[in-house]
Amino acid sequence: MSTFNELIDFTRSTTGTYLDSVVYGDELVTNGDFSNGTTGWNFRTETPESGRARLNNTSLGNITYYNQTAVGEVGKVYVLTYDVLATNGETLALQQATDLPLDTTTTGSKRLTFNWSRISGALTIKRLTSNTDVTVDNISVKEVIGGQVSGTPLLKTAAINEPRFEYDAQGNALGLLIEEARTNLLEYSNQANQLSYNADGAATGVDTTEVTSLAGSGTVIKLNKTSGGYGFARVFYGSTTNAQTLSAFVKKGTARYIGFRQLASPSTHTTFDLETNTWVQTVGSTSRGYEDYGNGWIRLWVVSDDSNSKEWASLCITNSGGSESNSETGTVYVYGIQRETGTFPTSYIPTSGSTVTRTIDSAVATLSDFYYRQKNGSMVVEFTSKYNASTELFKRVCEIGNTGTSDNRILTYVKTDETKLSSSVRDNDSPQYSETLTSSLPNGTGVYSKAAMAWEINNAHAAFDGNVVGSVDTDVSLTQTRDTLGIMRSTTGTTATLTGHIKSIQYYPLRVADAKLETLTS
Amino acid sequence: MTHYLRFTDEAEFLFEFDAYIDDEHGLVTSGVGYDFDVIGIIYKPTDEVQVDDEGYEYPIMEAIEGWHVNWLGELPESLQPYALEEPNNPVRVFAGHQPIKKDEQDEYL
Repeated sequence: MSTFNELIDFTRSTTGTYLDSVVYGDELVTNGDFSNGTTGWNFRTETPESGRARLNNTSLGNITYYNQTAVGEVGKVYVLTYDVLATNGETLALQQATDLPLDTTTTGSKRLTFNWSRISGALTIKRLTSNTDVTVDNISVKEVIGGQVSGTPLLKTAAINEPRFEYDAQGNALGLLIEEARTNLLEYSNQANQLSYNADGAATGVDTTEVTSLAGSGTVIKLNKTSGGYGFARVFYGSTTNAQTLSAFVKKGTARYIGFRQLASPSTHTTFDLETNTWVQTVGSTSRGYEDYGNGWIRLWVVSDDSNSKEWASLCITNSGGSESNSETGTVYVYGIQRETGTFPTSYIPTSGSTVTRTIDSAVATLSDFYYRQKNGSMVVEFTSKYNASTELFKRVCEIGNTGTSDNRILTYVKTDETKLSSSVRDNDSPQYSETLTSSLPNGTGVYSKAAMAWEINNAHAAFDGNVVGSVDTDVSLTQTRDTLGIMRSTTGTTATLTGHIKSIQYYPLRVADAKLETLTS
Repeated sequence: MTHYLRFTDEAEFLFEFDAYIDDEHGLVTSGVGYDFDVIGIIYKPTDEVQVDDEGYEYPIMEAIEGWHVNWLGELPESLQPYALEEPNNPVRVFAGHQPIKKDEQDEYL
């Protein structure tokens, strides 16, 4: 089997950041959600409540631990996750060579990364003191088998020409990240004293190492609002009517709400509730979103793509209404603020004294490097997509053709202004086959699409997300020789590059059957 | 290597970059062996400040001369007359291509 680097010619003229996450092994706990009663578990000394594990030691003789055998192996790294459903504020512990306290003093979803040191391999959860009453559910243990063995996702910098294979914070493979060129237009993306605060002194910002940054080291910005008054920390950048996206990584401190503002007016901040992970005020932006980056960090973004004047990159400790002057107090940690021209966020571009441009990613393959047949083939791709739906562009998901001409392209592409995904075949500058696969291709949602097309002389067909589309075209001419595969780009250049993750791309040297097309895209 | 280019104005830039424009996509900012980044007019903070309605002070900016473009890769001969000496404090850089600081500060660019 050939490696990525042997088959794919990947280039990017600059560095680029990506989330290097954690790759987990299989689930090691049996019946961790207690949906099957106590199957797999030993409770000392009484039967637990239905559907969850209550360790109630408030009366003499009640249970002191529960466990299951042969879960871990000494020396390996594991992640334990669990939900604390109820607690009287006491601490449970994971029994190891030295007991590891579990965060059970409050309810919520919890996580512990640890080196297994208990020789018996048994997973035992026990009380540390008497009068403990803690109820836990959804217990999971998985070995960390790749990526960041610390168990914590890390924002890393890929070198020039290094492809970025991303995982999400849960360790799920996202695929190869392909992005258009973008510039972080803020000169200092992570420096508290480069932000402006109101003279009333209600809000301040400092660089701190109180929490671990997404990069694993260095400082983050701690915003602290200590009294009623203005809560913003911001940069004024003049005025533009171009679409702008403002983003930042945020970790909750003691404040509940964080707001983002770009518009000259109103001063209302589009506001995110850090307790419920929901946007509670949408004024000031045309779209918005967030993404989990692990270890309590989320990336928030707001997009303003209307004709209103934008002049602020402002973050604000605010109230649910997004008022820049408010009675809220508390702290929020911020890392990596980014302002970019465009209708969707791209990966973080660190800056320190200059605005910084990340250039476009490019991935192509030479067809002669693998078994490519000129007159028969099938291509299957699984990908996510981000695009500007207000402009007519023809962004490529994949294209087989030639480097010097677009006359012979076999491709799947997005017509952006119609959110339409299509497949087509051209030969000698003559259209041979064309089919619309969907008119509502996901845009910036992170949802994967699966598209396939199959072709041979006088036979072409396509499928999308498990269904063939349209009917077989029985008038297809294939007379020309093709030499190149473009991945999320055309074969002639990068101008039609689609931003997104490509999770897989498969080529079959034959026109697979329609039923197979459906299976491959299911 | 990054080349910092300055044209008299946008029209001169577009004339010189005619070979990098296609009908469908406009400027082709990336190709074999090159990337370029159009900055356009660069604004520099003056010593003067303006106060907005909320009492917030912000610097008054002024445009510096020219239309600016960063070029990454070998610079074609036709563009070499527009290349500036690498500035110490460029307003924009390519990621991973920060300039090497020199002893003397060049102009803000």
